[in-house]
Amino acid sequence: MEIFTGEAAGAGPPKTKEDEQVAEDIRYGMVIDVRRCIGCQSCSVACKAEMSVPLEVFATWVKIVERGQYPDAQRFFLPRLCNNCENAICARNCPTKASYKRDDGVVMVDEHRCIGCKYCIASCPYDVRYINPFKNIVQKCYWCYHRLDAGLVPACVETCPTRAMIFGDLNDPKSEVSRVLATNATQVIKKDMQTEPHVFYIGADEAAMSNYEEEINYFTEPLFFPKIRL
Amino acid sequence: MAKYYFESIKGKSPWYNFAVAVLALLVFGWLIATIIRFYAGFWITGLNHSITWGGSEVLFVLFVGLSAGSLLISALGAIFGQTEYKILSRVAALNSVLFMAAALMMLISSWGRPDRIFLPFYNINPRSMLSLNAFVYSSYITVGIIYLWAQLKNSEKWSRILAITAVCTAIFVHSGTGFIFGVINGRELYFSSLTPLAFVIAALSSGTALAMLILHYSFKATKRKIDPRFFLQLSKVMLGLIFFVFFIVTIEHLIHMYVPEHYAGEEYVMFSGSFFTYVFWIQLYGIGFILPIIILLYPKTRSKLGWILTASVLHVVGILGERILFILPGQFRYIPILPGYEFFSNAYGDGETITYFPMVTAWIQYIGVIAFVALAYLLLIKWLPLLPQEAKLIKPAPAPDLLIEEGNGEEEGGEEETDAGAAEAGAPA
Repeated sequence: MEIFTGEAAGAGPPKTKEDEQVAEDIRYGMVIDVRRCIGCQSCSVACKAEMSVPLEVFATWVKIVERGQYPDAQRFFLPRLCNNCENAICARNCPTKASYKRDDGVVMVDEHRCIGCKYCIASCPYDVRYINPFKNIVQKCYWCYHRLDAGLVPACVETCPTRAMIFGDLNDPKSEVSRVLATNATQVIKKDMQTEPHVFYIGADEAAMSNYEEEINYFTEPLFFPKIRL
Repeated sequence: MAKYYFESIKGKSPWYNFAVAVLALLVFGWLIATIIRFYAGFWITGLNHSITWGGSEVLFVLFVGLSAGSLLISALGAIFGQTEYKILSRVAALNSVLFMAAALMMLISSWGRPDRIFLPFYNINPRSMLSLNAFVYSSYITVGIIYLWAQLKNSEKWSRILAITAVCTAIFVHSGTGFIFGVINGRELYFSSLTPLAFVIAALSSGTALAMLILHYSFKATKRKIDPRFFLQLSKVMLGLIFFVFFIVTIEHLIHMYVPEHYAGEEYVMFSGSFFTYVFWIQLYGIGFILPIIILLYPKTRSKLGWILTASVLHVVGILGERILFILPGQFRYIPILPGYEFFSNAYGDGETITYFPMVTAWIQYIGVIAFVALAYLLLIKWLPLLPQEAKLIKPAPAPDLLIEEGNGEEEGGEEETDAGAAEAGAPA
């Protein structure tokens, strides 16, 4: 019941040396149960309110997509936010180390170091970074690091009405995230990018998570006579 | 070693003053536009949250490239033993420095926070190509300025050493610029290991083309004489480079078409009927490659100065197309997150048709940076002795049957040199 009490397992500001050691061992992660998502966009709104995200840009949002023709149609929700990857390409490419990874795995952007070169936006395979129109710097989802430091869970997790989002410490085997991960089949977006995302999805369409836009039957379609639509 | 006679231009004609005034106004416009952009945000240049690199970055890579060809001409004398080209060395070195400065102006004015320009120098991320390039770019400009200064001091030894240093730095600069974009593995149209090589060669070919244009019109406007055979020789160099770029760009696209992950992106660029299809086939292949190759190969046009200059203009325009294809399509193709689905909600910008066109502020920035190059060039050739009074090829191009008598030819050439030197020494300064 740690979600409803609003406590992230193992969170809290480090006080002693032992606490600091504990903080280094923490690796936050999130599991999103897509079967439970109703597309209410509560997470988007909570994120906007918590992090003062400007108009027209989003750090967290729910993609609503459809496929098929009525009556054989399917609607699909996919909550999207920064994956806070283990191998963050954005942090690798940032020229000023403004993007960096905290000890607990959260990828941060230092507002005072960002020069606004937008290299990280181009580098991110997940399209989750945005330019703050007022500050002219790049921002993203930080998993509400100020709330984590205070022992709370991110605002989107707190507000999700169906508990589709589960947040906690991946290194703690007793945390709910670890238990859910251990007992469910999960996927990450674009696994082939080898970024090791820390946001896991349960019940997402496999085709939706792949890097390929469309399945090209590569060996039967004529390669050198493509459809020219000039 | 022959002594060349350099003379700064007088710069007293009303046209000169008028040009300087207009260009200064345009540079001032760049400054104002950049300040407005700084306070108003990116949207005022037409950028949005999907297209975060726009025309500024296109011109940045174009200018970085254009500085290469000038340096090549400048270093021909020192490195490749083409001593006749030393007479063009100063003005070519100046151009390479100016274009690099313009490229950095374009880059920094496209940053969100241009006031943090020195941050990359003390927050170094060694894994980031952009961070490393901050040092490479600044050292390139520094080496270029010292190289120019050594030539103004007539220091043969240092000119040669610095020419070699500058060319080595230039290789780092141009391949490094290619690396910035080539290492973006999250976007299919950026990610390529051929990008750095393609960038270097396209930089050399387009830079040579533009340097020929600048040299021709500088000499023509100041009523000085330049031997047309310079352009004939440079056009042959340019033709070889154009073939090389043509080859690299073609195999890059072909190999991308063979990769299932990249095929959709290549189809978007090459066959989808989008803006980039026209840029690819008409601007890059038609204007940039095919027409210049035809002009420079066809016997009736390849030896005419007008046609050579036309081919140069066409190739620079074509390489502008290459730079557009280098920067923009990778962002126009949205990152496929949910492939195979039709987007239901546009409220979050998903699946929107992405459009981008530079707005007025952006155009003022582009024109202002180009005006900066022209203004600095006009002022510096007035203040410093950079343009030669007369540029001529001393040694005639050896015909095959004359190769045996090469020694005699060189001696004759030497006599001519001394004669010319004496005549110059006698001429009033």
